[in-house]
Amino acid sequence: MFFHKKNRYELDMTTANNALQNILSSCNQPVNTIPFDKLVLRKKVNAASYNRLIAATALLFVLTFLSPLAIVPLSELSETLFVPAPAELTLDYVENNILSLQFSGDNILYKEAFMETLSGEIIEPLSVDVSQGVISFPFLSEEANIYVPVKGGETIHLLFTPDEVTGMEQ
Amino acid sequence: MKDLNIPYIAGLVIRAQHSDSDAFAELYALTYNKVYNYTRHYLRDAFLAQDAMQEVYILALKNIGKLNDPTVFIAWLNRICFHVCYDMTQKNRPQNDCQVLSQEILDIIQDPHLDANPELHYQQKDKYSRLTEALEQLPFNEKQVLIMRYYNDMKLEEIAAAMEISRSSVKRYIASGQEHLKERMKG
Repeated sequence: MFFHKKNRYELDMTTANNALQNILSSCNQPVNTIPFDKLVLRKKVNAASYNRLIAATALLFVLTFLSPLAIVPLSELSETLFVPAPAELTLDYVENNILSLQFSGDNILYKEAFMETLSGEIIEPLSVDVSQGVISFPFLSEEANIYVPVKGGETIHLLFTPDEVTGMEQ
Repeated sequence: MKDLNIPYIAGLVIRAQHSDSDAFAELYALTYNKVYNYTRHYLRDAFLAQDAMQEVYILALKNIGKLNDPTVFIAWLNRICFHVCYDMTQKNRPQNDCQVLSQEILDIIQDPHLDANPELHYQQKDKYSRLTEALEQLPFNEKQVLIMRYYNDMKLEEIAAAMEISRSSVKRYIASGQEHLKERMKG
């Protein structure tokens, strides 16, 4: 490719012009009024294919340089699409001496939730409704910590007092 | 050459048919390098090639009025170019010289057990004339390539360069030309 032997012969313009004059005189034709070098420069070449090639190359360049702009918003969009909703306590109520806590958010490990009294006693939930996001614990007369693990290392930590459920720490 | 603007050339041809020297000069300016390249490859001599080129354009100028379809000017010029070169090589060859130079093409028509028997020699001459007739009936490109390859002993690269086509196209023309020749020689 780089050392391709040039095997196309070309005639210099002076010799070509002399030959043209010989041809015209041999056929008893008048000489050309437009100089030969101008005629050579006037070459009408069908450049449609070259124009198409240049346009395609230019388009490819533009697309190459603009591609980061197209990729960054997409990645941001994908991040927002796939980021899990944060876990949080939405509702708490006491009914028939049962404390019910309703959570919203993704990746909450409802079945691993537990209550720990101040004396260190671990109390398992009475019931877990994963579809509603509700965990029920016995309503105690003393303070207790409620731990609700979330997939990914975080844990919702609630401090329960007999009068009310206060605050949430994660 | 294939990128030349055919409608523009056709317009020049029409003007040249009405004895417009500038139009003919422009046609010449557009095509002379192609013609020279062909003649230079075919004849392998710079001066002969220039003579052949002049001969081509003299014939073209004298006969341009007979060209009915101006859009086929380039193909018409190519034919003139080939015939001029072919005639020049034939004239430069000794009368009794075998016209076919390559053994490869001779194998198509030749009996391998042929000896120096005069009767067989005449039979062989008859086969040569049949071969020439068969060559004349081939499509122009096949005939041109076969003559360049086997009569003029040109390399594939030289033919490709002269005709401004790829080496594989030359091989394809040779293969199809040989097939057609075989069919015609058998028939």
